Amino acid sequence: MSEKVQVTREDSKTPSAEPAASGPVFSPRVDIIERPEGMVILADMPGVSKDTVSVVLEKGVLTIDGDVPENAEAGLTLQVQEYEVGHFHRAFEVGESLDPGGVEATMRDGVLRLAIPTREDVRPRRIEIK
Amino acid sequence: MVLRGWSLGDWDPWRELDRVHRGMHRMLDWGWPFRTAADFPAVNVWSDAERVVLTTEVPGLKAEDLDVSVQNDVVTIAGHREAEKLAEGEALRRQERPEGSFARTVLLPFGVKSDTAEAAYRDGVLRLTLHRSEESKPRKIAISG
Repeated sequence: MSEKVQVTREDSKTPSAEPAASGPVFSPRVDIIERPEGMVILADMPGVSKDTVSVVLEKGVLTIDGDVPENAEAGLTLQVQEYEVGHFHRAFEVGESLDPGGVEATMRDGVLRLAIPTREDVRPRRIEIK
Repeated sequence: MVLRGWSLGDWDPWRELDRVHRGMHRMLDWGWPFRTAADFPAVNVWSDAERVVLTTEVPGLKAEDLDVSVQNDVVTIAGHREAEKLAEGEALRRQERPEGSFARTVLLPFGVKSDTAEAAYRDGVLRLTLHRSEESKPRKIAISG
């Protein structure tokens, strides 16, 4: 998808430093799913691969960054440009009920998937009645 | 992101809202928030006298859900992506990624051959390489007299 939003700070109370990137920086579109076992964040970052994505956890803030290769075709003339490419950046504040240390990240076909488990002591547990 | 109580069996008004919200998004397909559904996906096109290269961003698709066809100077890119299914007790807290079907036709600078067309899908980016067809090449017309 190509309509991108410029970087904002809506997702964290602590301002997330913008990366010193030369060129446009975009905020990837995300879906956030809440499951009993944890949160799942899916982020669209077309052009980003496993090697060019970074997920950093610091002080309860999860920050994702993605680099894309230049979108240019050597020897050809650009006729139509409907979208730009640039660096992806977005930060999320992780709620207290989640265990950010257990986050698992996978990158596939330009989609980053983060699975953040709920903390063990917060998970619903069935209590046996004897 | 605070987890709200999810004790099973309770009616959760927020979950109901989420369900309605989800339904609305599904209806709007890939058309939202683009100006019209015909705008998605956005494309970049390069060419010289012999070749056209088109790139477009369509992340998270399986090869069988992407359909590309060419005819003369028109290429059609179509596909669909399902959102992740939710089970009981699960809620969609935020949905920004489009879901549903899309179809876009793009007019090329000239007619192309379909048999030498190459389509590569990598990291969510589709890249088409198309070669000019013989019929579309300009031909000199001899002037008699």
